[in-house]
Amino acid sequence: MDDRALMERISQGDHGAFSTLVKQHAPALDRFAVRLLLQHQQAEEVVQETLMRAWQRAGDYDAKRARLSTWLHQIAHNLCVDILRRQKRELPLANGAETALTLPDATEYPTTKSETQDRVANAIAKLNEHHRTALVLTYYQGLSNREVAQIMDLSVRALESLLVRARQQIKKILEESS
Amino acid sequence: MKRSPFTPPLPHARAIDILNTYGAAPERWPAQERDALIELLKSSDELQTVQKTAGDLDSLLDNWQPATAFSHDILFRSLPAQAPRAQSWSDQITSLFFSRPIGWQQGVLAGAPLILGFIWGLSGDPSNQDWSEAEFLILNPPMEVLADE
Repeated sequence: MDDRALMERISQGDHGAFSTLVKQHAPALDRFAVRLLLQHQQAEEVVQETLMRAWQRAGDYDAKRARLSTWLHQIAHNLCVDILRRQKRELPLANGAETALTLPDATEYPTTKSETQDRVANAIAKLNEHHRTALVLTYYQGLSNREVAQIMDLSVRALESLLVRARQQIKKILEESS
Repeated sequence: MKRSPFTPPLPHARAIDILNTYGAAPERWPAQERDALIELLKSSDELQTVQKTAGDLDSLLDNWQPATAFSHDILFRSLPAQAPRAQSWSDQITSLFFSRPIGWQQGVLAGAPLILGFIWGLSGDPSNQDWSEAEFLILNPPMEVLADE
């Protein structure tokens, strides 16, 4: 069943179609939210809310504008950005030296306990919101550059600029931590 | 060397940018530039070195695979209480105008009130624009109005 047909059935209240959507997209959305928020609990809330909105607003989905995966990532992204900005307002910046978001220790999330994995997670946690979002959506979520640009409301050129800097920063952080 | 007409040439600098931006794996490169970059890599030692460096970072990034533990149960339990929202009349009107490029019918529909207003304004009787009577009535209300008070 294609995206349009699936969402049409969901808009008619079809629980089976919604179950298909959840099975197809929830794991990817969860990984996305975890990688962006670095907190299991909040990530799960974001996925719940994203899927609930998909259920409630299925009639708004326009297959000509975006793939379903892109549409869902856009909803999840907006929810994550709200959380990150709230955290930014609530948590004081350390000596004003860094504009990067102050986030919980990435190791808080139960990854398998490999040292390299923790180092990478902590390096990504040190990126600012835009760099991290660009990297996570493009590198980990497998979305195309145009789709990510659409989600982040950027030009492809601006997205590429963020990606280059994100990779440079991670490389530098990882070199310093090794 | 004769180049395929379907693969536009990729500048060397752009090839380096792609590797530094998207990493070493071709499946992450922009689809429209992928074939050209693969072709270019075959003949450039410098690009192969850049790809190797990008690949080293990729293999570190690939290490981070957080486990997910999404619970479907809570979501499904809360569904019956919140049925999908049918598209409201205001959404339908909005989508009529903004969901796709504006066609001539929509343009005429949107511009009609402006055009009608303009024509009405031109054809109006100038004597109707004399406000002196209204001003007089405001300052000197009819007696029955005064009597009501």
